[in-house]
Amino acid sequence: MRKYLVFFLLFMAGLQARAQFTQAEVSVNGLTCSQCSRSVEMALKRLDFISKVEMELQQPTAHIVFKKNKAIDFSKLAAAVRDAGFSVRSVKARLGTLDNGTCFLDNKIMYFNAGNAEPLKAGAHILLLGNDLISKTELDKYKQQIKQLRPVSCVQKAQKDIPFILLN
Amino acid sequence: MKSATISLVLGLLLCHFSMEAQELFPNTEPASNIPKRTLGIRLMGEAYSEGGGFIRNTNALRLMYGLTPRLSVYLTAASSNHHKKTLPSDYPYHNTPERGVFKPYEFNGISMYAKYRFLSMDEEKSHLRMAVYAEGSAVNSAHDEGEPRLMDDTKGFGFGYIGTYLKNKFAVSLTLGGIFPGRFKGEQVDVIDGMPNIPTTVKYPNTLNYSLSMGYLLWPRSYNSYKQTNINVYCELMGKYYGDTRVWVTPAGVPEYLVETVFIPPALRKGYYLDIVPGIQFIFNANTRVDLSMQFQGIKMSYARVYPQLNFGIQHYFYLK
Repeated sequence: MRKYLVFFLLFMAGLQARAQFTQAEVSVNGLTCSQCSRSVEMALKRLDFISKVEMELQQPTAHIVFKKNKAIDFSKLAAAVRDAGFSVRSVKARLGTLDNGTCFLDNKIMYFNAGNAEPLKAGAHILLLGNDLISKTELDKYKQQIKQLRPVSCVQKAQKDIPFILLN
Repeated sequence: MKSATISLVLGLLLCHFSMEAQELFPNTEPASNIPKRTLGIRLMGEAYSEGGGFIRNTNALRLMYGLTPRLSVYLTAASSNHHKKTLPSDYPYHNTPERGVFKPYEFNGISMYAKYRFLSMDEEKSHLRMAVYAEGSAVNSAHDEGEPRLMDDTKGFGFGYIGTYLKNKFAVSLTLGGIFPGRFKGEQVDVIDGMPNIPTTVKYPNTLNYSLSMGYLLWPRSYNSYKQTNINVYCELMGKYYGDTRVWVTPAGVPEYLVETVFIPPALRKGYYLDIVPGIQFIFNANTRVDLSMQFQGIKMSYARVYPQLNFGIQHYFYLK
């Protein structure tokens, strides 16, 4: 019985596309001062899954490098920007290794391609459209590009779903 | 009158040049907050000359902390050479405001302030924010002018509204608030030598405070590093509208009585004013902020200062782990 269970678990793990986020770009709304950018940077640096943050000051954007083998939580990242007193305009992430598919599970969160059925590739850039990441006003700007809900092929159980669209 | 006109013209001219900063106003609070888990430390000073070599100054140390992204709390300790232990003699009939006399430099007390941001409409490089604030003070100085200030002059509480709009390099902010000062119960020295001090109670007037602040980022024209020193220019219009001060005195052998308004001097009567405060600010390493501003007489005048008044501030953020 135990043998079957192990096989079953291995089979399920095989279905699940593995992804590792390597980098992200977080654009910030509501600020124009370099002191404000520094506050965002310092708030992001408190997160244990972030290895490096560099702020682009002119178009306030945080360029983030993630630590390897750490659970990445984009909602914590958005909360850090809000803690600094600002809001998130967009979260773009770069995928590391990845099996082909239109969705993947990472840190118990289901990420799925809401734009089209095109399979993902390693190194792809995606725009995350979670409603706890960016404001409703920003989400509404991408309404036209959202073509599908979570595909039926993505059957795994997850704590929550984050739709995304492919950028390249 | 002539000097007042010159001050007004000079103030407006300076403000005209600085019309086009940021919302880190030197003398008023924006609707934005201190980032969460960040400690801000601010040292402030004000100074003006009363003539005859008398320089009055107020200094304060303020600790600011971001409890949540929307709620900031401040604790301010103030000291000044604006007050004696007792009110001026013959108060309130004469000698108010009392100028050109020695007053010791002393600790005035502690005040608290809390600000809650209830609205944020953030866009790329712009925002509209609104906040409410409440303040309370345990200061108990022998303040002889009517106009109250919770930081260093009077005990009491206050609350108000702040609305701030920021677009690119320009920011404008409006503050409207009420101050509800308490009473000072103390004494004044009798004008007749040898007589005991006269118990005196002062009820400072409820006051409406208002300000309109504007700021512009002058330098750098384009950001590329935290090491660039930022230069912001500001123009703030600040004032108060207050009612009559009430004073009760109890000379020896006489029951306590309220001094009728007709006998009190202008500094204790109902009034209003609007000061013009141009300022410049330097921010080093995207953190340490130095503010310099000059307060000029605009419409009417405040009796709590002699114009022009020099304001100074230095502030630094510590991002806690």
